[in-house]
Amino acid sequence: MDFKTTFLNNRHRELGAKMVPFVGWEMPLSYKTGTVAEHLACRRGAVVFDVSHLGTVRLAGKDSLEILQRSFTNDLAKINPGRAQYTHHLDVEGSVVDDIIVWWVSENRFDVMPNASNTSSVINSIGGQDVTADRSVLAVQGPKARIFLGRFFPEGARVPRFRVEELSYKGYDVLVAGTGYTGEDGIELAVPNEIALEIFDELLEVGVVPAGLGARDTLRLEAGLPLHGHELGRGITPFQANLGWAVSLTKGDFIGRDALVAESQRGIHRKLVGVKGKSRQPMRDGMDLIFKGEVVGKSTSGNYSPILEVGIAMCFAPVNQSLGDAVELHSGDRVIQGEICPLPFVAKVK
Amino acid sequence: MANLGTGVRLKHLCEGELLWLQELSIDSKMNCPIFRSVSAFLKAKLSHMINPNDRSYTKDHEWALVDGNRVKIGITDFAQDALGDVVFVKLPEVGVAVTKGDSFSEVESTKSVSDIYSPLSGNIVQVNESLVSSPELVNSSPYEDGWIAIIEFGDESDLETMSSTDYDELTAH
Repeated sequence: MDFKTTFLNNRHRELGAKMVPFVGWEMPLSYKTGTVAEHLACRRGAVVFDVSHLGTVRLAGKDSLEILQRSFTNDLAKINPGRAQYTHHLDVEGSVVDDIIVWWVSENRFDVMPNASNTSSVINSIGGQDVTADRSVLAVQGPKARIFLGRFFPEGARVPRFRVEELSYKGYDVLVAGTGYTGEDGIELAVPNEIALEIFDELLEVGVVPAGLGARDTLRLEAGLPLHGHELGRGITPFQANLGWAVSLTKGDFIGRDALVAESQRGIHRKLVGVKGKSRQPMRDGMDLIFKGEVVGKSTSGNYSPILEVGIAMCFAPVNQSLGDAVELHSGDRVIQGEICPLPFVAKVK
Repeated sequence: MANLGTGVRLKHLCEGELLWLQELSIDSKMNCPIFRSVSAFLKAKLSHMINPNDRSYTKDHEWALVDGNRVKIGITDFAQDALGDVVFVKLPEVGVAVTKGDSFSEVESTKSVSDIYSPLSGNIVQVNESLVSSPELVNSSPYEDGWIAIIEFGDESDLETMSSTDYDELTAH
């Protein structure tokens, strides 16, 4: 099978990255430094991820706002052009079929960024143009992301959190947003493919560490951020995943609203919780959550937390499951002890 | 085997030539297409040349270093590289009996779990306690500080392993 490659593919290889297939793309899993070092670099300094595999669907035209308001869960009236918003795409049953960031670039232009595997289903639903192949996306993340980026692109480094700005870099139009998926402050840059390598190299030159999908996953897990196909998917509503803040039941109709209204009236039957282990043993997804000898839920994501230095997992649990409850995760003869803890596992920037 | 596009085939190069090529490829920042195309291969080839010949190897990527009636077990450089960052090692208890071919330990990385199989039957007499707090030793020092356990055996002929040369060959592709 042939995989799609980003414009940075050769550079990733030259840097010694382990390349892996990921939703039809060949992407770096980790570089020579390894996932744990990349993770810690993001928590303490700054890293850059090549996330060009994420989809971008461009919606332009006077009816764009109305289309998005009735297609997705969040209320764009809460924000303005020049801002980014996290939202959900539901089916009629209220299941989250995708979680999406909308960059409201200017009055009648929206860049809608679904998960890589869902780009075509989003286009089926809202129309628009798939511009994924026309740009590369670099996510610069970490407490020092703005300092490093500011050394060669100060205007970009000043874009505030959840703001989106159209800027110029060396004569090229670039889109810069104060967004990310690590729990840290950071900047995402959507740039023309012809300058992607140059910007990536500039970032490494000033001291930003390249990081792969491995660190991206452990970072978002520590930050309690959902991953499509794990915490979100068929049969899972935003309310069950603690993401009711991304839903507006008052803005008017949207796909899946009736199901969410019904659920909000009868109450959710399960909720997403954190489980923190007692040892370094990584937790994994798909393990049974055991409380007082009974199977009460299942883990959706798990790994080792480089910051807490113990295994952690997100799990669906009964709504009455309390913080501090002693639980176990079981899979075959594997038993990992832990306790219910709040999400996120590690404090994230607002 | 990588073809350099110049009629040169890599397997005909000696270690010194490979090192020279790698130095050149670093100096030239991989600008030459030949070096670019072989750089990944060179890295793999060079990293596989460090399997020490004082011990033997299993097809499951463990190494076994025999000393009298004891054998020290660990995982190979190839195995640790494939696993990625090791964050947890489930050590066996000292005194337990192990059976040839059975798993007696697990090495877990951020991406997967790998069973460690015993290359012969015997009893666990020592485990590497430093792996409890520093499992990353398996990555940084797979053949020395990252050893996993020592097994005392009755019959060395039970040991089913291959030479370092054969293991080099097994992992070269």
